[in-house]
Amino acid sequence: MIAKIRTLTPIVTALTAFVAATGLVVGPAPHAGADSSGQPTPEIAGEVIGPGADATILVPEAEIDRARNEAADETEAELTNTEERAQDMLLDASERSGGTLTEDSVDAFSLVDGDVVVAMPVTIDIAQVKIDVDDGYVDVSVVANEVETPLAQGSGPGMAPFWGNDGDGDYALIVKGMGDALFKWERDVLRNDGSSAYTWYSYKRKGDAHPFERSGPNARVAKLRVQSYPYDQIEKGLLNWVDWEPASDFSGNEGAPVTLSVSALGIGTVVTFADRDKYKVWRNPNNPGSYWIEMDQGRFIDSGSRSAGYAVVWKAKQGTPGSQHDFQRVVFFYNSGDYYCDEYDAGDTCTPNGVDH
Amino acid sequence: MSWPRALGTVVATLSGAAILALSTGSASLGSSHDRSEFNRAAVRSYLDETPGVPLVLPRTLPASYRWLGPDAAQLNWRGWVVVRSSVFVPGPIGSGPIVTVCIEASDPSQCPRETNEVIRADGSGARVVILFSGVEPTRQDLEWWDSVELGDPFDASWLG
Repeated sequence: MIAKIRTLTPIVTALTAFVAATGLVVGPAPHAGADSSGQPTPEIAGEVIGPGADATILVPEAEIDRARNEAADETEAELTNTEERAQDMLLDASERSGGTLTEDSVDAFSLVDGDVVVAMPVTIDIAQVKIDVDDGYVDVSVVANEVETPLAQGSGPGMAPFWGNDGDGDYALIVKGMGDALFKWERDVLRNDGSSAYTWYSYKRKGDAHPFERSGPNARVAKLRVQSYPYDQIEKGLLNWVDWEPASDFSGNEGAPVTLSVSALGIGTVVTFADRDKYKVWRNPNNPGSYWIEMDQGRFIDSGSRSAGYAVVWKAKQGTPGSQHDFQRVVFFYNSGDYYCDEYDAGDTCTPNGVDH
Repeated sequence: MSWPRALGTVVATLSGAAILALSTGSASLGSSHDRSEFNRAAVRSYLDETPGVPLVLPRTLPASYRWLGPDAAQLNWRGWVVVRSSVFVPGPIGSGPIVTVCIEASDPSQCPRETNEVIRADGSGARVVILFSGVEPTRQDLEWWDSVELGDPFDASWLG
């Protein structure tokens, strides 16, 4: 795929004209300055472009990848005004054409010391950007590798990405005489995403604690904690958070099902549990995938089972594994004492300790 | 009735009779609750919120098993559920295999896969993959899940 534009000032018009049907915005960035008519004057590689100017700049794939990876580490607030404007234009174009692009599925970055700005779906790979200045006119040619794009995916389900299972398992925590709890994990990876640069992972966790039937009163589930975080070895390959639920602390709804949906590139994945009581959540903003949820009945502890769960999505460099450590804890309350059991990456059988926790 | 944490200390100093008096108020769970934390209204609410491939449940449950309710689901590009799973656990955990029933209307398969599994059809074209974990399933476990009638969740006798 080759996209090309020939433009002179004003830049806004140039960028607008450069929204290609395949989902790509690229063009020379505006710089401070104006010609005698008051029109803004663009620069390429430090030279003000005007009538009679000539130059050719080739931006190789390695430089493009470097700029793109740097941009992927930036938060939305760190985008330059021009990058943000290019991103907005691409999102607008996607929406008008029925596409599914979101901020999370668009890369916006600058090249040639900020002289050229590119906004494009994350699923597109650019092989080269060529900037020709010919008598003051700026030609920008982009050679993109032929890959599937989210916009193209709107044309048929057969081309769409989907979440494929990438591992799952469960752990049991048992407190003798009190109760037990099952903790599950499921990791999915986005298949068919069309990107050779990135991988999207979803990780869903859920815990369910149940008091044993006793001849006297049953124990009660005071607390339930479910947590996960990435292996140290993969942290370098993690790029950014994409989605997470629950997003904040909340109070349960008397056991009504809560359905948590997270997504990447518009494809959702869901975990459901019965929510009761109060839930606290925590997320490490600097470590994608590091998250916990805790149900805590507080001062007044009711009977019955309790559940907690969450779903998170993060983006990683292609080839980065999705390995996560899991932590789980259950606290049963009985006759003034808290009886807990917890473990990393495993289940356990605990003897009631009676220690307040 | 709730157990107040502060009162817990007081209760500990009272007689056993006092403890029993407190427990009387903590409504003993009914039989349907013993089998599932989710009732029909909760299932209806869940299905309304997640349209797509049907939820399939066994008409009966093996003795001592509980349904933990809907678990995971995958959506397609239209936002429809194409895979959904739910989990059944024995009481206590460890006394039998944990059973995951996954229903999928997707190709390629998106259900988790295990060495021990039973694959069935639900009659509507969806594939039902029944997975066993935790404890190795016995031949009786496999046969039970291979033959139990699967269908509409509201036909399940154990769902309250």
